[in-house]
Amino acid sequence: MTVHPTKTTRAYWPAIVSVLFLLGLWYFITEHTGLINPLFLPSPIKVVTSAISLTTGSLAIDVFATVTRVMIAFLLSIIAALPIALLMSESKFFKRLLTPYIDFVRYIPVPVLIPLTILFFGIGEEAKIILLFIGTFFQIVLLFDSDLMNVPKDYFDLAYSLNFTTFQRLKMKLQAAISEMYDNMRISLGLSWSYVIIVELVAAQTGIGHMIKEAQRFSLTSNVYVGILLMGIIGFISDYLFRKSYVKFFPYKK
Amino acid sequence: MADIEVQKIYKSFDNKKVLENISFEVKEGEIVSILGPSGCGKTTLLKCILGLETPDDGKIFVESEKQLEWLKNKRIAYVPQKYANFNHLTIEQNILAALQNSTQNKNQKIDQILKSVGLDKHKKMYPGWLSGGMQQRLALARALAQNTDIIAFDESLNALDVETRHQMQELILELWAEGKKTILFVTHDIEEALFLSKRVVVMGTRPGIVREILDIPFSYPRKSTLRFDEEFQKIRRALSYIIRSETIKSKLSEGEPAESSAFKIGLYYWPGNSPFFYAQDKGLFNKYSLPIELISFSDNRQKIDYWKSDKIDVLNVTVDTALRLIKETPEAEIIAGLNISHGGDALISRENIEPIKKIKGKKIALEKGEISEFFLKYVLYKNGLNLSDVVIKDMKGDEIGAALINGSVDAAVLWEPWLSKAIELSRTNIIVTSKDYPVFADVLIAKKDFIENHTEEIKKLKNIWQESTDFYSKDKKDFIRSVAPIVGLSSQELSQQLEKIEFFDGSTDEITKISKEIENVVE
Repeated sequence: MTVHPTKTTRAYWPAIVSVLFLLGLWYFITEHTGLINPLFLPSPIKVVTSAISLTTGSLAIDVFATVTRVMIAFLLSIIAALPIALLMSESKFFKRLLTPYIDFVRYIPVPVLIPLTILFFGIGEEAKIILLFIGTFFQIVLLFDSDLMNVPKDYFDLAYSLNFTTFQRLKMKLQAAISEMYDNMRISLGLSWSYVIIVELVAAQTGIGHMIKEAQRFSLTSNVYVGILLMGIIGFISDYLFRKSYVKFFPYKK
Repeated sequence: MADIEVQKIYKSFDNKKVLENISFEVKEGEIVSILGPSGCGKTTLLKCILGLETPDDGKIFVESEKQLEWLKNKRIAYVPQKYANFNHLTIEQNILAALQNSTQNKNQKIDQILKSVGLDKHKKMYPGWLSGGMQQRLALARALAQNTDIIAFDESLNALDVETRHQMQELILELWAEGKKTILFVTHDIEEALFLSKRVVVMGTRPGIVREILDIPFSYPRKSTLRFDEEFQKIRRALSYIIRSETIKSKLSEGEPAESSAFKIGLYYWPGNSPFFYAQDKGLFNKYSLPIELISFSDNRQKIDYWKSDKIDVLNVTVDTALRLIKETPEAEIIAGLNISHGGDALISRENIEPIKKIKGKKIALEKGEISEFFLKYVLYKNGLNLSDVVIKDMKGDEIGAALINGSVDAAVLWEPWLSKAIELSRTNIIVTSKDYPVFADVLIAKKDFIENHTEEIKKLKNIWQESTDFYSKDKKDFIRSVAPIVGLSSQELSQQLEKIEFFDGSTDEITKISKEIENVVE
């Protein structure tokens, strides 16, 4: 999959205008009509003031906790997935050996594993990171493997005729696949964001998920909205960074 | 010394024969092209030579060493068509990939190589940013940087426009003249093969076989104007007929119609069909607005099978085969008489067999199921004998002469062009020729439903044949000059062989007489 970076700011206009319109609509309905009970949908002003009061409180800690969890688990997944995917793409034996396990785990929904991880690892950080790791690692292995398998056979013919050593050949293979792998990391990261909230909703003392759960307990709907918007914004920013850096890292994809 | 020697290579994929009995060699410093229609197995052949595929049978030698030994520490540089460069590396890095194991000053070498192909200003760019021509120049530069003695190109210039393509060909020749590397060039472009190579290996299709190995008589350095040379064009035309036939055949065997509206005539490879080729060359089919595909077959059984399964509409066979086919498929009918052989086939022997009755018990080489078998059958019949009185050895045309010369058979039925050669090389006696028995005629046959639906077209076809044979009797020289390259003979050879052929005007009167004459023998 390739990313098409937007070249002009003009491309952003439809999004900006529509967001402003929706905000306006939201403001109008909640402040001037009373059509919807504020318990269900507080006005944007309420949400903003909640956000401000939260920032003076524990919001920064929550955001930091969530982002750290995702980052650690995600990096671990990639570090572990890379050699395994390479091994699978190189050897039919390993592929046949590992694929059934990967497919099996891949179909187990992460929340199902929460009781077991708590039993094994308690409710500390390890448990959360392990859950996130399980949620993303198996997906990433498969995606990486397919990216590596998609390196054109012609490249290997070329490598052979250039008398590459095994090391040179593997390096070429990784280099040829890395842009696709990077793009797949972006997609997998999205998965991590949803798992982290699930994990934090169930068992956590910090994090955005925990904050949302607390807000729900005290019927602070506006805080729930702050949490939701925050997740969206964090996801959006991480995706944006991936896209921007993609063009930087892989100029030949232009 | 031969740089590459390919001996009797066979290769199949999933029980499908791809290469059959391929042999040829490339001498040191030569440019040799492998030319053939798409799907004839040329890329597979090249991959076998490069070591990327393993042939099922046969041997390959590189620089007089067994290929597998040679490949232990050496390689043939390779310029593929697609993915000719690593797209994730810059121009500079791509060249560097070929210099990894080199001890020279790499930066200097990169500059020098890139300069030689005119890419020195683009070092930091990526291949994907360049035009197709520049990308191929980069691939060429990388192959040169590898500093091997042999470079192989696989349809490398396919994607380029004609101008760029010509420029690349000239660049290749230029760089070749500097280093005199051995070059193996796989292409389906006839002009490209002709322009570059000293020799062209022409491949046939399904399975891939070597149809012909052609020496290209132009000296190096070659100028771009060579493409307009008359001799060059002549060879190009000859090759294009072969390639065209092979292309159509490969499409037919896949079951697709080669060209829907045109009707397809399956022909023998022999000078007796010259009037058709002359007609095509002079545009007579266009004049009569009769779209037609002339397909020459070297495998006559395949030709008949295609006709039986309606892949070709009209079939060129000898009268005896025609009678046999009519017996097998009653809806078949002779639609035209083409020609009769007056000496093009002969029964020859090492010792003098006189009278013919003395042939009893002798070993005779011939091609079974073909006109040569019928020829012998007929001669024996006329002399009160039959096939069971002799010992038949089934061989291919090119093997028969050799068998006769080395004495493994006593006699043989041979036909042109091998007949002249066998007589030239050994002291053989001609016992009888087709001149003594004027029954070996060529006809066109078709199925009844086709004939009923195409009366107009068949009439036109006969008219064209007649007009073309008229041209022959009026101006033999012009006729021979046009046809010789198409049938792959020199003008002299063709004119000698045409002496032994009498053309009919297309009518079937003579054929009816001959049919009556040979009916008993066929049965």
